[in-house]
Amino acid sequence: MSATRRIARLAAWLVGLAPLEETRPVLALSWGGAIAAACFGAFVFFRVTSALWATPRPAPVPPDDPATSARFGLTASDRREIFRELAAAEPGERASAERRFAGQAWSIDDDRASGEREAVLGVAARRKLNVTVVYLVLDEGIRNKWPGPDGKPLAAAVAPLNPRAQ
Amino acid sequence: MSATASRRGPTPPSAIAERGPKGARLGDRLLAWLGVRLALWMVVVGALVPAAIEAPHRVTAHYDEHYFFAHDDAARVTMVDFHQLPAWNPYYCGGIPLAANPQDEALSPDAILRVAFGTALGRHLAIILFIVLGLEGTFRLARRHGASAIASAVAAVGFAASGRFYFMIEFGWINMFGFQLLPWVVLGFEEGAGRGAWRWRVLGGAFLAWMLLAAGTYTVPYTVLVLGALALWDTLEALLAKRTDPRAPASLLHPLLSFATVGVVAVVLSAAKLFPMLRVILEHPRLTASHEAFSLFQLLESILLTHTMKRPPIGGDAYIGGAFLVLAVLGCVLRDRAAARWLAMALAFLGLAFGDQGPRAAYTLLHKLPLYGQLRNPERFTLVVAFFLALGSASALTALEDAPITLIRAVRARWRSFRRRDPSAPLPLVAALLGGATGAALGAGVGLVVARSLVQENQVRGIFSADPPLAYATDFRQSRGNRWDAHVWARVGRGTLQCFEENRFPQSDRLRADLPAEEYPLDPSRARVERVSWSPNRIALHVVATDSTPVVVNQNFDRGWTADAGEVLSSGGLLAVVAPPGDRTIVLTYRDGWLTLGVAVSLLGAIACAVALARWLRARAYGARARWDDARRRG
Repeated sequence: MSATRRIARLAAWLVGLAPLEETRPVLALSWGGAIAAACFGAFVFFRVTSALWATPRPAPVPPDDPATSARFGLTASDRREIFRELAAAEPGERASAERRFAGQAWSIDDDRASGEREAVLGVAARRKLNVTVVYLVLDEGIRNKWPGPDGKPLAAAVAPLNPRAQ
Repeated sequence: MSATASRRGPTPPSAIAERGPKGARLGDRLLAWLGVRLALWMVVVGALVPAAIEAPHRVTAHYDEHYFFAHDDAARVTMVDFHQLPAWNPYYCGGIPLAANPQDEALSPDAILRVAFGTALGRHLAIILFIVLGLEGTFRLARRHGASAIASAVAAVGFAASGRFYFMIEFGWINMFGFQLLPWVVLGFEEGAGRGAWRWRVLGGAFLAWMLLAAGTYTVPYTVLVLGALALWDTLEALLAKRTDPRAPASLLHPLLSFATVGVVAVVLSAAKLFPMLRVILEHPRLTASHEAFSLFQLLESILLTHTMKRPPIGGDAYIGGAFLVLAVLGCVLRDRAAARWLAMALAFLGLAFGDQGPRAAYTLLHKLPLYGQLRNPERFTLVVAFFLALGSASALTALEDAPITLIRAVRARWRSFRRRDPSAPLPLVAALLGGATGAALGAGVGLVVARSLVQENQVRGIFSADPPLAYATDFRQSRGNRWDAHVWARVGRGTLQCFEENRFPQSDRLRADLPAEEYPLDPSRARVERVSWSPNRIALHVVATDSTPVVVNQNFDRGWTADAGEVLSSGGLLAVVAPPGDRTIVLTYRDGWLTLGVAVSLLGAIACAVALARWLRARAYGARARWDDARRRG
């Protein structure tokens, strides 16, 4: 069969005018095409998602250093200062929550936590820290009963889960 | 109709397919290769969710994203760091069930991505995977109903890129991306309605099971409704066909049989999640709002108006655009039965999206059904509406693509009749090529405009703006925590006591974040306690007790906890074990019997499916070999 006739038959097959007879070259071309298309699809996948694989994972929080009493990559005085900033906001957050959700213990605590989050984000942004580190400092202060603005430790318990109480 | 088609379920009701070219179209040939489609889908993904690709380790600022991230991370830590089943989540609320939590996706097949690549990257990869599956599934479903490949690709973009998915990314609702599997379930159901097409039913069931395993609190009930509606439609259609022509081959029972088989397979394969989850749902029902209703204007605004045109959207956005609606209606005008079926379904589900409009409203009645009463947000049905509108649009777009060749054929037939020649003679190759190329260009041009405007409107960019959570090596302790940033706790070995859950899990008021040790004797004068080892589902304690006395763990009590010595009990809601006198190691273990049974059932089901798949692949390999041998014989 001449090349022109072959091209004409291929064109006729392309527009659905005539079927292609399943000869070995046709099958090989069909299967080879499918494999080539799969490789092309995989290439485009990795090309489009290249940033996913190229972006480095975030480094973990630095380990504690008992020699210098540094924790989370911060000195003891820095941690105390961060805790003071966070603790200073808590009475206001709690009072505001009590006004908004009078008598609903879980909702009050949840609203207080929402305010705390804003304070954490603020500290993290000002000090260029990851929020994980700021929360770890807050946790350390609560665990070790560091004094809050009124000289007493912050509450170490929460109101039990009871959303949508009303 | 070929023998293959008759085995593959009822004839797709597409008049446009009948009127179109008898063979394949140009676009059909090109998009027949899966690799080409994958490339196309990835281009769509790249244009649609650049945010998910550009910042793979960051999270969005939304608290729901943090909630789901926290649960995924707890499951990953449990499986990867402690090599345990994700049964108990000590990192949240002071301890709650993990895999049994309806909102947890620890046992979902896409959890493999989070295990292999880390929680953040795995979640981003899951978004991409679900979108690609949604595109491919919708494409195949539209093709089954006679749409051209180009029209099917546009329909695929119409559904997979519809607006409701893309605010879900900001909210971290990867579980809701299970909706992208909806076309696969429908495809399995429809193909499975044919005689002997059990493999398709298994496939449909497997995808429905995936939805359930991926925390399908909404995806599964909605999909069951879709299948029920389609089964009812197909049964009624078969009934009408029988009445008008008693020799009609359609069987009345096949749609229902396919529906039932898909359901049974889904139950078996998702048993690992379903069995323990049912216990949780029954013991701690989901909290639902009392009254939710929307007007037609609100719903249409949500579906049809772009972000810049609309007021604050209702419960998120569902933009698909007017073009898809117009094309879907046009398909009906062209008297295409497939388009009519899809549009009827779209209208039915739009009816549900109205919500509580009164005691006889569809949604109100639906709420009276078991489990459906725990659903909220009826506006989410607009996602199903978008699915059917996208499918409906394919018929009109196919007609547009076929218009040039149909026109050429009609003109030529007239001309040949005028010249007293056979009007049914095949078209010359040049005319067919010209008509095919013009049709493909027309279909692709219109499709590109429609699809590109949708993708641009719903593009997700720049939302992964919050800090990635960092790892910190330390022993487990409860902290006061903060559920608004729930994602930071599990990987620093802390549990967040402050929490939110849709189901009202019991939480003790005696949990504390300032204890010197997480395990302690209730009466310190009677015992000393020291932690030997800790993992989410197993805690070993060295106890020296002078008398029988409770030892308390700073976690919630659950009846799944057992001990190898002493009685396990609740001490004010806290987990406690009555330690016998003496010096011993007490091991507390969390076991959920329903989870264990479910995992066994799911594994057996998965093995049976794998065997069936292997046999099918072997049969296909033999078939390919036979075709090769035949080709060799023909020379």
